[in-house]
Amino acid sequence: MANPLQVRRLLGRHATDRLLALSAVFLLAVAWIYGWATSGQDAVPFVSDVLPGASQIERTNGIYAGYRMDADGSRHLVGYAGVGEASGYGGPVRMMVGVDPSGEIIGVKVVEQRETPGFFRLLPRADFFGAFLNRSVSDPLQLGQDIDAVSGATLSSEGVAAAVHRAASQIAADRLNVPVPAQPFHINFGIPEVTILALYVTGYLGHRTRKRTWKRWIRRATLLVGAVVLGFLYNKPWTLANVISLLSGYWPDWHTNLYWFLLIGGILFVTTAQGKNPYCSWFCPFGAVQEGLARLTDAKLYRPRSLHRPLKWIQRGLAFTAIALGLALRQPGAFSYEPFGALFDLQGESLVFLLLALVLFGSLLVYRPFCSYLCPLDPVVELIGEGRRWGKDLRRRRTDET
Amino acid sequence: MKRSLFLLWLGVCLVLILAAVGQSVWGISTGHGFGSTQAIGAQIHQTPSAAVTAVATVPPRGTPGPTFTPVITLSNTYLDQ
Repeated sequence: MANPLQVRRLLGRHATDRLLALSAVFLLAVAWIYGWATSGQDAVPFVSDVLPGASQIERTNGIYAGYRMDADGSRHLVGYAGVGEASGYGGPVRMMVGVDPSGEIIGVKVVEQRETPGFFRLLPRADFFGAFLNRSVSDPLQLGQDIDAVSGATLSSEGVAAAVHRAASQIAADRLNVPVPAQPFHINFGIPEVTILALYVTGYLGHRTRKRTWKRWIRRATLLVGAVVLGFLYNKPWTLANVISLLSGYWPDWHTNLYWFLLIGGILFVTTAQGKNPYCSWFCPFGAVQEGLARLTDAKLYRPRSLHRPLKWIQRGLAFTAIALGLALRQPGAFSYEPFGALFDLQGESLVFLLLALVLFGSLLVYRPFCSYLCPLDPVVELIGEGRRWGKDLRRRRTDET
Repeated sequence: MKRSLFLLWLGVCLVLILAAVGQSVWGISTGHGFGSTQAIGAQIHQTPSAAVTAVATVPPRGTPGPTFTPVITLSNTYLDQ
């Protein structure tokens, strides 16, 4: 049994901070386990929705057959229903699809989804689910071909379309003997992916250069590109939803969402290997907007000495609460409280728009106030950095002892 | 003055963030917001028979054979409970 002195020695410098960080990690692990044990949704209640009129249901090999019972006791096949799953923005999207005996889709229902609420709501508003109805199971059912994506919710649209296609294909192959064309293998590699790679390389070079003027101009350029491309054009900033998805194990398909891997992989790699944050001060689009506003009024960093530390703990507490809730309820997008979507895509709850207005106003008075005291991603980077420093401390001590 | 103004700004931001997080928790737990729970809630209210279906068709673990045939009773049993 280790005595307090040994524990303190193990924790090294900043013992209190490290103890709190360890407790936070432990509690997040508990939230993760709770979420893992309680997540999952039974699909059966949705069968009657996608097979209207079916009053008797049989299930074989994961496919449901729905029958209508007539007054004379005879029964007629209404159709088949199945569930398909694919990756959306926040996690897996499970769709139930009903198909009539001729192979026409007659019902589509969301069984389970983990998308950001403000964005996923765009789908029913645009009648996206209705686009699948009356189509044949042998149709491509693909975005860009016979289905249009909903602007502002492209990844959710892709997830739903892929899940519907999988369910329809399974029914077609297992019950209808209808040949279904295989979905073409396609890697999404476009402007966002090229931009993020270019930003990492430019940021690295900017970080390495010793000439201050160069560094300043390179940083301004990366921030501008980040704000325009990753912010206003594509709305793909790093968010807490990404962190919760990563921790929940909701990793998207790499070929449809390569950007996710480049963004998160790059940040994790540089933070753990180099101990530097490649994102926040170099190309965070929201940070760039705050910085741009600060330049208009020449606003300065505000760090009241007596308050800075307690305020940082409030920021960490907020981030911890949001991550713990996201993990426990397995809803990565629901607790991502950053107002990024409100600024870059004009989507979100009214509370988030109010927060955005306050942050933009505050940015005129103080340099990057959201980054300094509210952003939940700063504590995430801090935690990784602290783990790295702690590991180095322990290794150094072991070397000193030997 | 600057300090109190800053703290006021930060306090209002924190209240908004906590309200947004609370709204999400409330939405998920009551089914009035979004996510899978909403789908379940909507399902129960709109088609009570579907809730009965869920109870009737889930087979016990280890049920032999690939097929089972539950009969759905169209009733408001679930809501009555």
